[in-house]
Parts: sequence; C-alpha cells; structure tokens
Amino acid sequence: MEHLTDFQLMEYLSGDAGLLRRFLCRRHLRRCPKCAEQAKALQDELEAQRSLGAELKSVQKLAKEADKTMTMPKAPVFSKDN
Amino acid sequence: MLSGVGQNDPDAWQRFYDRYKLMVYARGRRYGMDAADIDDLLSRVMSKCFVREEGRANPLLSYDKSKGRFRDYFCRIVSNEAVTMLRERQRRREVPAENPEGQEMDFADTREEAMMQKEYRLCLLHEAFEAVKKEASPRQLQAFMAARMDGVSPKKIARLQNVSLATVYNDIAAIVESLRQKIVFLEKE
Ligand SMILES: [Zn+2]
Repeated sequence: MEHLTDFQLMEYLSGDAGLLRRFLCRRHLRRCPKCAEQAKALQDELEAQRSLGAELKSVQKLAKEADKTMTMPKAPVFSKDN
Repeated sequence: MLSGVGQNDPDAWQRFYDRYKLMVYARGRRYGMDAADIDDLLSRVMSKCFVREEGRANPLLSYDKSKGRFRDYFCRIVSNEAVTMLRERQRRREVPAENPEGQEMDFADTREEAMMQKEYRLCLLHEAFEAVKKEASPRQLQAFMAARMDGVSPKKIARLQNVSLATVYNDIAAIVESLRQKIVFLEKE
C-alpha cells in the first residue's frame, strides 16, 4: 500500500483537496494507522499555526491601537516628586 | 539594550519602548483606562524604572540582577503602578468596584501572575513578528498572513500568487518556523 505524502495530507486537512482526493484520502486514513498518525500530527500542527496566527492578529490590532493612543516618552521621564 | 538605555542611546530607548509598550497598554486597557491615564501609567512606570542620581547626567536603571529577570521586574512595576492608579481612582469613586469588562477586581497573586504572563507574551509575539516581517520574503509573509491570520484558503493564495499549492504550504511553514525561533531567542534574552 502506498502511503499518503505530507502534501496530500496537508491538502486534505486544509480543505484544499477536491472531492475525489478527499474520498481517497479518507478511505486510506481509515485503513492505515501510520498515515492516520501522521495526519493527527499535521492536524495538531495546523491548529497550532492557526492559533499563533489568531494571537498575532490580536497583537497587531493592539499594537496599532497602542501606537494611536500612546505617546513615546522622551528617554527617560521622571515624575515631579522624583 | 538596557545598558544602551542607561547611556541615553536613542535607538536603545526606541527598542525598549517598542518592546514593553504593549504591556503597559494592555494593562491600561484591561483596567478601563483612557489615553491620558495610559500615558500617566507609562510615565509612572518609567519613573520607577529609572532613578536620578546627583551629579549624573544619565539616568540609572533601578533594576539590577538581584531583582531577577528584567522582564519580570518590569511586569511587577507595571502591575503595581496600574493597581495603585486604579485604587486611587476607586477611592475618588471615579470608577465602580468592577472594571468595564465586568470582571471582579481581584489582586490575588495567581491571577496577577497569569495576567503578567499574558501581557508579556503580547510583547514577545509583537517583537518576534516585527523582526520576522523585516527578514522574510514578501511572498512567504503574504501567504502566512492570509492563511493563518485571515483564514484564506491556501488554494486561493496559490492562485493569487501564481505559485503551486506546495509552495504556499512551504512558505507558511517557513514563516512559522522563523517566528518560533525568534520567540525562543527573545525568551532567552
Ligand atoms: Zn498510509
């Protein structure tokens, strides 16, 4: 039995595969524990990447807001009672 | 960077500000502060970080290695100053006992620690991403941002960029790898 490549698995997991490829992939994964294990690892990686992306998106938004709101103080600033 | 800040190096100051501004901003926002209050918080934090010494033109950092890692020291200052400001405002009855997010005010150490870690991660991610943006190829960066930040399908990105789907997957993976390396590097710093 020929195993699925990482590219084929990524295509399947990302929803980029066409109908026939999806069917063949699913069928193979049901029968092959080795590929099923690799698919699980890639799925975890995909989720980690998406969660990193989501974090970065909110960080970018926050940084934009911060730049609009905050004024960079002259180096360094002392309060009056110092 | 820290010694540069102490020697009034403008680049070091810019990097210092860029690295830590989000920590101050995120905390200010969490406590429902407006722009003026956030600037006030920033100024209080800075005045705790640097001390004036008679006869010296340059400021001295109030931090030394006995205080642990600088970032933890800085986090504690932000936290203490923000809580102090909030308590002052509450005493003046400017804000109700609950913050605008509806969370109960709780200054317990564990919650505080979790908050500081979260705010530090914001700074870390921001700095890592800015660094990667400068180094990465525009095509790779575009693929990563579209796919992982905006949820565009890699197939569509491949079409738009006129490259193979495998190239898009590889480009995304390359950016993720650079980000992870940068995060590890900054965490050790
Ligand atoms: Zn297989």
